[in-house]
Amino acid sequence: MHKYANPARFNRLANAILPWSFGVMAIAFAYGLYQALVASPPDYQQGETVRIMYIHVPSAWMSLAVYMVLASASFVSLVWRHPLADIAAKASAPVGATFTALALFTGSLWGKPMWGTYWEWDARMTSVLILLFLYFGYMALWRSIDDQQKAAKAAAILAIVGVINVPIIKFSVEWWNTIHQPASVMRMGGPTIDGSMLIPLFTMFIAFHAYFITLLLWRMKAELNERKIQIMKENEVLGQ
Amino acid sequence: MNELLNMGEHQTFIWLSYGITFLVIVALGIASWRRHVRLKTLIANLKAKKKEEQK
Repeated sequence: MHKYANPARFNRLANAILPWSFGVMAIAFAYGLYQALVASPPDYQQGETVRIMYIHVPSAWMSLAVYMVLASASFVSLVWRHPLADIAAKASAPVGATFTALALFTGSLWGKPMWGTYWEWDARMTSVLILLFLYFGYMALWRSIDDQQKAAKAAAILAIVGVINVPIIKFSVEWWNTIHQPASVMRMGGPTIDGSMLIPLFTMFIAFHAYFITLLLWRMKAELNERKIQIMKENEVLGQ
Repeated sequence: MNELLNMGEHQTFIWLSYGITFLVIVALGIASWRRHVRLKTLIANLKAKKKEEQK
């Protein structure tokens, strides 16, 4: 892993991955949307409203997956001082925050016709809202501390402490009484959803993953270039 | 087309979910890509300027 700590090597790898991730993203979104809006059947209880699931569930999964990427990269940055680790963590935070906000927003719009309310302070929704605040806190720390090394360290500690919220989100529907339904895809004993609904769900899941990889690589490359420019400008000032 | 757009009594919720999600996804995608291209161009210009000065 350390051999990819070299920015030039990372750039070469990113340039090789980007066309593929972009291509997979475009195809998966096109096919996923067709499946979600046209090909999949309405639910026998929820009717057409079930189609919100095809964007809500992948957004919610991604909010947790991106947080684990952010926390793992923060851990690597803190322990092994891997040069690209804090860049990866910093680059993934806005994307993770976006997925979390979308999960809350689409969940709220799904909740109104199904539960009769946009919001309820139950365990699942509240813990996901805390996840959103963790993302905001992480980004705020990076912005509020001028010294980049200190900012990286403070943000990494927050990210690692925040991991405690991930199992709370996952198991909140089992540990507490909530109006949110229990797990129906990633559960012991297999999914309880019909295959005709699993196809659009997993296609959108692939699309959201490819989207994250594409954006992560663009943002990491931009962050690397920003740091290079900063160093070049500092050297210029020192040279004068 | 009308059949595709008609999502029953709760269609406002469905189309609002899809609309806002894809608006946000596309906006973040474009912003990330533009920042990447802008900084790539900037660093190339700075390198070229430095080379020019060294000559």
